[in-house]
Parts: sequence; C-alpha cells; structure tokens
Amino acid sequence: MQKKRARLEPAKYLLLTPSTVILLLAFFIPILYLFTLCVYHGIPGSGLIDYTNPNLDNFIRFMDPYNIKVLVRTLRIAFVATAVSLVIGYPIALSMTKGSNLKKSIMLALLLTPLVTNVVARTLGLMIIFGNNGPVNKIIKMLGFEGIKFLGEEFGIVLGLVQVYTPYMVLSVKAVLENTNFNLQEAARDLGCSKWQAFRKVILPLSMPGVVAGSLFVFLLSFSSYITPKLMGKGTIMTMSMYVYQQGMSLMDWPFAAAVAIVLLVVSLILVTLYNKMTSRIERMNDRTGMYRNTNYSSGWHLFKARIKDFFYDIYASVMRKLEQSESTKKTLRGLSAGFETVGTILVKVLVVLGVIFIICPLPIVLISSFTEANLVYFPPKGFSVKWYVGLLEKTEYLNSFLVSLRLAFGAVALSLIFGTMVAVALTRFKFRFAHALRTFFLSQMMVPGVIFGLAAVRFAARIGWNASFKALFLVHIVICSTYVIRTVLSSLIGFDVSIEEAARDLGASSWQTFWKVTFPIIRPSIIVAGLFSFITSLDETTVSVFLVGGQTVTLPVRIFSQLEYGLEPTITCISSLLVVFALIILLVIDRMIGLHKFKI
Amino acid sequence: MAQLEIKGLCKSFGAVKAVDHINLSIEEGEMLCLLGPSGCGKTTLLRILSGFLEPDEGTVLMGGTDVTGLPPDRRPTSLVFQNYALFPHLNVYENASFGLRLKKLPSAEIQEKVMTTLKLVGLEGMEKRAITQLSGGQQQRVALARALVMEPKVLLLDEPLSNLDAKLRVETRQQIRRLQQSLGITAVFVTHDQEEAMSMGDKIAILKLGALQQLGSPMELYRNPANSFVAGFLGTPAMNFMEAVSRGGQVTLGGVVLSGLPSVPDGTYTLGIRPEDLVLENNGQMEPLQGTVESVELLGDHALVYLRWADKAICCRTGIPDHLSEGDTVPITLDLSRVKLFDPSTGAAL
Repeated sequence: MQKKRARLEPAKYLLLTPSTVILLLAFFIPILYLFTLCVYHGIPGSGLIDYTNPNLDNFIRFMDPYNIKVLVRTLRIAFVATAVSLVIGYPIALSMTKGSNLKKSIMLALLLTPLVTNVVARTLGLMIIFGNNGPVNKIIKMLGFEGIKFLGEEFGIVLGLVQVYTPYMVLSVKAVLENTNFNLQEAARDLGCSKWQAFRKVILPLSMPGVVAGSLFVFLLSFSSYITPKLMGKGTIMTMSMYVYQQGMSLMDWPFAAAVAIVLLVVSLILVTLYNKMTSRIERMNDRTGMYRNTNYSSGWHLFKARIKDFFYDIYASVMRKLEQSESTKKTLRGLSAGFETVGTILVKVLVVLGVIFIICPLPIVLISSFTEANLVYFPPKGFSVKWYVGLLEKTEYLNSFLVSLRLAFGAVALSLIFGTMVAVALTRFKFRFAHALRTFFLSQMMVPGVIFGLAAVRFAARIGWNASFKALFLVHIVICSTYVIRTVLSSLIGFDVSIEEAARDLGASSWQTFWKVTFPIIRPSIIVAGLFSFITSLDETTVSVFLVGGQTVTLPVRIFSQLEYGLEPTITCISSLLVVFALIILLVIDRMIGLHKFKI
Repeated sequence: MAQLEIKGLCKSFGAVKAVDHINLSIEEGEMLCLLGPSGCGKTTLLRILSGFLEPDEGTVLMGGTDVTGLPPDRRPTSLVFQNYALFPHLNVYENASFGLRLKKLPSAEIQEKVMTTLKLVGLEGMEKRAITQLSGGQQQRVALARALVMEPKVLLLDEPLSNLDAKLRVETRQQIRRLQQSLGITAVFVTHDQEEAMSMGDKIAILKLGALQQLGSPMELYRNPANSFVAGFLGTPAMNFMEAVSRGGQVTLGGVVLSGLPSVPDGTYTLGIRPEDLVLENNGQMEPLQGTVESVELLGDHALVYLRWADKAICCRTGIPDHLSEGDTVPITLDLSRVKLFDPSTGAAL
C-alpha cells in the first residue's frame, strides 16, 4: 500500500502541470509583468517607457481630481446598479420560490437565457430600446413628455448593468431563500404575524446573506464592467475599466495604465474577499442554518441592542394598545393594514412582471428588429424582409470573424476540458500541502477584472513578439474556459460520495479502472455542461479579446462591438439574433442534460 | 360547553377527499389525539384548525366562537410544528417572546410570562442560547414554550415527538401530558404512533381516508372498537381475525361451537380476538382448536407465539413458554368474553 501511494505521488503533479504552465504563461506572468511597469514613467502617445527612475509618481498622478472623479463615478454607477438590481431581483427571487413547477421553470429559463446570451447582443437590444428614437422614448413622447436621453448618460449605463447583472442577484437570493424553511413563515403566521410581518420579521432577515452576497457580486461585476458602460455610455462617460483601456491602448501610457489597473484590482479583490466570506457563510447555513451557531447572545453588545429594541418597542406597543382600545380605531387600523397588504402584493407582482420583461426584452427586440427592410435599425421594424440575413453571406469580414471565433472556441474548450478535468480530479483525489491555495490559484482568473487580464496579455504578447497573433488569443481563451471547467467539475467531484469509489476498489478495480468505470460516468454530465458553457463563454468573450485582436484575428463579438461603437446597423442585429438563437439552443441542451435548476453560473 | 367543536368539516384536494364530513368536539382541558396511518387526513385537519387551510364545508368553533374564516394570525390557537420551525436568527428568549410582542404587551409583562413558561418546560437559564446550540429535545421544548406562552384556547401539536430518539420520546410525552393536565390546556395532538395516542389522549379520534372511524377514550377504542379497521389498527401485535359462521343463533369457529356470544343473524362473520385474549391450554370455555407452533419470540417478561391453525396465522401473547418448540401441536382457546364479531362487508362491529 505504502509503495503504491509513493508511485502515485508524481502523478498528481503531472495532472496539474499543463494547466499550471498555461496559467502561468498566459495569466500570472503577464499580470505581474504589467504591474512591474507601474513604477516607471511612460512617454504618452509613443508607447515608450522611461526605465531610468522607478518611483510611485503614477499613483500620485492617480490622485488628481479628474482620476478620482472617474473612480468615484464608477463606484457610484456600480452602487446604483446594485441597488436597482436588488429592488428588481429580490421580488423575482421570492416569487420563484413559490408557485407551480411550470412557473418556476419558465421564470428560470427567462432569467438564464439572457445570461448565456452574448453581452454585446444584449446591450444592442438595450441600445435599440433606449435609443433617442427607440420604443421607450416614443412612448414617452406619445404621452406628451419631452424625450429622455438614455444613451451616453450615467443612467443609461445603470440600466444596461441592471439588465445584464440582475439575473446573478436573483440566483444568489433564490439560493438562500430555497434553503429557508418555509415552515418558519407558517410559524410566524401562527404566532400572530400578518403576511407582511412574517416576511419582514422572518424571511427577510434569513435571506440577508443571499442579499449581501448577490449585492457584492453585482457590485463587483458592475464596477469592473467594460462592454456595457462603453456601449451604453457611448464612450463619453469614463469608468475605471474604460480608463484602463484608454490609457493603455489609445494613449499607450503603459505605466500609468498599469497603475490604474492596480487600483481597479485592489478594489475588486476587496469585494471578492467579502463575497467569498459571505458565500462560505451561506454554505455553512445549509447544515440547518449553522451560521447562527456562533452568535453570542450574552455579549454586552447583544444585551445593549435588546435594551434599545425593548425601549422603542414599549413606546410603539403602548401607543398601539391605546389606539386599539376603541373598537372602531382597531377596525380602521386592521382595514388599513389589510389594504396596505393587498396593494403591496399587487405592486410586488407588477414589479416582478416588469422586472422579468426588462431582463428578457432585449433578446426579442433584437430578433424582431433584424427583419427590417430599412437601412437603419428601428423598433418596431419598418417592413419585413430577410434581406439583411441574405446580405450576411456577402460580408466576408463577419464570416471570417465567425470562423476565428469557432476555431478559438472549439480548440480552447477541447484543451480546457482535458486539462481542467485533470486539475479537478487531482485537487479532490490527492492530498496537497497547500490545497486551498492551489484551488485559489486555479480559479484566480475569475477574480481579476477582464480589462486587467486583457491589458496584461496584450502587453506581454508584444514583449515576446506575439502581438496580434492567434496564439495569444488562444491561450487567453484556454485560461478563461479551463477556469470554468475546473470550477464546475470540482463542485461535482466535491459533492461526490467517495464510498462509491471505495466500493469499486473493494471489488477489485484499480484506481485507473475506478476512474473510468465509476467516477467518470458519474461526473460526465457536469463535464458536458462545463464544455457547453465554456464554449458559449469563449464565443461570447469580448472584454479580454478586444485587447488582443489584430487584423486577421478579430473574433465575432469584438467585430460586433467595434461596429456598435460607430452606430447601429441591421447586419449586426442579424448576427446578434443568430447568437441569441444559439444561446437558446445551448440552454435547451443543458436543460436536457442536467436540468436548468441544477445549472450554476 | 365544548372548547373545540368541529361540524361537518370537508376538504378535498382535486379528487382526493382529505377530510370527509368530520364532526367532533372536545371539552376544556382535554387532550384529543388524532391517530391514523399516513394519508388519513390528520395533518389536513390540523392545518384547518390552525387556519392554514380553509375547509370546503363545515365550521370550526373554539370556545363557542366561529373561527372558520379566520387567518392563522387571528386564531386563538398555537401550533407546535413537527420540525419545530424555530427561528434560527433569534435566540431562545426571542423565539418564545415572538408572539407576545405581536400582541403588543408591555415588555416587562412579556419577560415575566416568557420566564415562567421557560421554567415550566425546564429551560431556565437557557434564554440567551442560540437555537442551533440546543439539542433536539431542548429545541422541542422551546417550540412548546413558544406555543404555551400564547395561552392558546386550543394548543395544536403536529407529531412533535417524531424527531426525538425513542427514550427521549417517552420522557417528553409524559412531560407534555403533565403540563397539559396541570395547566388545563385543551389540546389536539396529531400522531401516527398508537402508543403515543393511547398514553397521552383523553380522547382518540381514529381517521382513515379522511373519515372519522371512531372517537372515544383509549380504553373504549381498545375494548370496543367500532369496526375492524379500528380493531386492527390499535394494539401490537394486531388483533387476530378469523372467519366465523352463525347458524340458528349458534356461532361456530372451524366447526367448534362458541357458546355465550350474543346471537347474530345467520351468515359469515369476521371474528376478532386480541393476542392476549388467547391461551395455549384449555380454558374450559370452549373445545380447544389444535394449532401448530411456527415460531416463538421471547420479549423478556412475556413471549409472542406464532401459530398456524386452519391455514391461518394466529398470534398469541403468553408468559415464557418453556416447553414449546417449533412444530408442536398445542390447544388454543379464546376468552369468549373478549371475542368481537364484525360484519365482513362493512367491517362494522356487531
């Protein structure tokens, strides 16, 4: 036995090797290289760097009012987007925990479809809806008001971010609500709570971890988002990610871009850490709400809180008792609260419907608009024709881009599935001294904003003479895909009953046979889902790719993105429609494979 | 006046009649056990009483007041949930005071009531504990205290002991019974465990497929079951059922005349006899049946003997049978005063 272990020892490192090499080469080294630049002085416009006098001037430069304004603006946008997505997302999550299974499935599909659809295609839908001559403005004008300018405004960016990220908020809150024992609501009702009180006193406090986790996640995504602010803001509203891109790619002041990237990364990492804390608390909650186990109710702080609460409660209770002494006031109060509850319930229902419509509507709008006859994009479209689809065949640049994207996606997914599964198996089936750190290492790409990854990759590629090459793009896509594969397969292996493997070993299977005959068939569905989803991710990837593309290697979403920066054009709606349909198909396959409700983003 | 009165209560889910025209009433201070196999409608009935379900038909009166249409928050009932449903974000004291604060009592009064009740259920000094720091038995008592402190007109308990281990279950049921009796609380207790129902209830209501089979004291139900379902449901091992024939006012069992039974019209009947009402010797009341011993199960102070007679399995409870072994042929006689006859088609007792 001892001997066998020893023989397997090198194997575990072999399993980690390919992914480690790629991750170091395409992710860690480029980022570290980029960060070393921050101490030098860039010569703006030239792309040249003065290496002579390393200092922290770039950070001091970041402190000037304009730059701080960019940071504050980005934080403000992220904050408002988070708040709005919470207001829209919470009622949706709540309504998804009730009702028939059919309703639940439909709502889940409505939420997940936009999530797997290309972000550029979705934002295109929003640009049509909120355009100066879009349907929203048409309605506003029809009602006799002055049109509102959404695009090129902070508010437009917020709308875009809310549409793009609210599904994450919903999923996060829903996960916690589903684990909440709904008997508790009944217990509260039995003890005298009205429906609203039962929600406020029991369900809401219990769902707070989900609210906090979802809010942190949406805040993080909004804060580091690049595509949506750029398109919805028409490039005129500067946010941190856009600033990084502008300093690096347009002004070619690499050292300063590196400094801004570091600031962006620090804020992001703080948010990630908080988020991880919260999700691990939620995981602990699953074992009969163990997260409250360590609350010390005898502490001075708790006693003090209870005092204060009692004080205000007594004032409230005595007033209410006085009021309820007269039967008529009691009746009025009861009527009022019943009325409030009815109106509230209706309002919430309306909010849920509007929220879901808002989240899903960019997709049908893009689809419908693509069948226009006119040379400009309108909604509702002028006339009906498929001429723009036919015209697609002649646009060789789009066809080329499509081929580039396909090659990337197929290649990256194939390699990621192999390398990623190897890592997941190694991390769960072998003991490592720094297992936790290793896991963080392999998943770290998720914690780094796309613009930083992109900027680092393009700078490093140039350094080693790979600029505008397919190779660099390919490696970056492998990193992105394999991170997702590792995460998905890891979670299915962690939830795996090891005694099944032990049973196979006991019945005489070697460890190799055990893997192929037992482990692999059981984790196969999650490997397939990981493959499908990383395929979509690769096909949709825009933020990082936008840095790396060159003349012959423009991916499809990047092509659409750069076209959108100039303006709307029917060809783009056609391609985006195809991407929407494609996402729908993938989602359908995932539903068939494992069921949508088990699908985790 | 009855403290709880149910009249003509009906509730259907689709085609399934979960509660089918149930009438019953209990007096103040009584404990009623709703007993039946799973799916018999006992939980539905309890949920109607607590206000979570509205009945299709019928009325529920509590202390003489019609509460049928009232939502749970305005009913004079408190429910102890099967899984306790304690609020995990609140400590023991906050859980127990939850309902009283909604009643807007002064906090000093609340404190007094909660402390008294916690003392009553033996949770003194635990009021600052987090719910998750408690054992299952302690959680159960918090749930009980949370319901008791509301001073409900009717206390409802939904299988509150089913999550406890066997030893604790016996202790707790005695404790609940003592509390209920000393405080004079009217209570409805749902269970599928007949031992629990027999030991706790002043009255037992046996339900089957939504219909009330019999309502009465435990002893009444055990000794005088209204039908063969009740007879077979109560008692472990279950009552033995055999086929008896009545002809010319004489009942015979496998050709043996059973004298002294009340006369019944001619026909075939189901005869029921409990395992403890059989003896494996001639008791002089009848000519013995000849049975074969199939197996003997020793249970400490007594034993169960499984016999075969006329191709029927019969169980007999006896003292320790030193002399019996498998395959022996033994005489079986019935205590004729304990014999029950049931109509074979309706199951009704005669």
